[in-house]
Amino acid sequence: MKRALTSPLGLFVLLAGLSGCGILYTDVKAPRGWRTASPADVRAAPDDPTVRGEACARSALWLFAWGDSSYDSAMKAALGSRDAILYDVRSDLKIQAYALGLYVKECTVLTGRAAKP
Amino acid sequence: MKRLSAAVLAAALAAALTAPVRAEGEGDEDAADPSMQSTSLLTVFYDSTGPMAFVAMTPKDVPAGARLIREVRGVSCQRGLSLPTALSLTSTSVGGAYGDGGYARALADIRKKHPEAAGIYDVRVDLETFSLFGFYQTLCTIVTARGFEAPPAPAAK
Repeated sequence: MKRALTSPLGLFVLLAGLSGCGILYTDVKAPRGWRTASPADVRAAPDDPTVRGEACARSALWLFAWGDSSYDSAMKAALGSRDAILYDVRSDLKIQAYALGLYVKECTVLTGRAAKP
Repeated sequence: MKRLSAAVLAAALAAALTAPVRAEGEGDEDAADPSMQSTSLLTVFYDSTGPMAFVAMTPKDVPAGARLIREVRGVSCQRGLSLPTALSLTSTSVGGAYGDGGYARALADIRKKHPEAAGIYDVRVDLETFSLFGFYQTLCTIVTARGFEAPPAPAAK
């Protein structure tokens, strides 16, 4: 096992898995950028609710990667059915990896306040 | 030698798990940060365009009186091909990349789908990566935003 992991092929497989890509199949959405609004950009009110949304992509066995951790998906999870606009947004990335990256879960976590559009 | 290999492996693991975790285009407003289709070591051709920087509008930039459109979406994609030179995972590959996955193309896609939109704001930019056996890859730029129509022209007196 140790020899397999320290061989060039083992290292390649391991790094491929940890990079969030599957060697055989990858179909993932990931965040790139979002110029979020500040309170001055929207009609902010003191009673605007604070909302939180999470969107995740996963990879397994270093071979397969799938899921949607995009900003758009996280924002929709945060707003739900509200017709609102997010402001004062904090964006975090949460990674959980187990067994040398055999299973990896990467989530975009958005926390912000919802104002009327 | 074995100890060295184990140390290299441990360092690689640590580096991979603690890699910078921000979205790669965060702060796009001022910095040029392209997302280009990766290609194999032996690149036969490369003719690809990717997103680099985009100063998007926020709600306060929307002209007064403009009618809001709920959501618009535009997509543009780069594509890549990669073929191994031997039947081995560690063999060198030959390949190339092509396509226009840039902001201009994605925004043109929005204009085509929503000709009534005069502009967009609250713009989220995401990247979709697709790969099958490593031979064929796509890297798509997905622009999702709220759109608005131009305010009506003032009535002539």
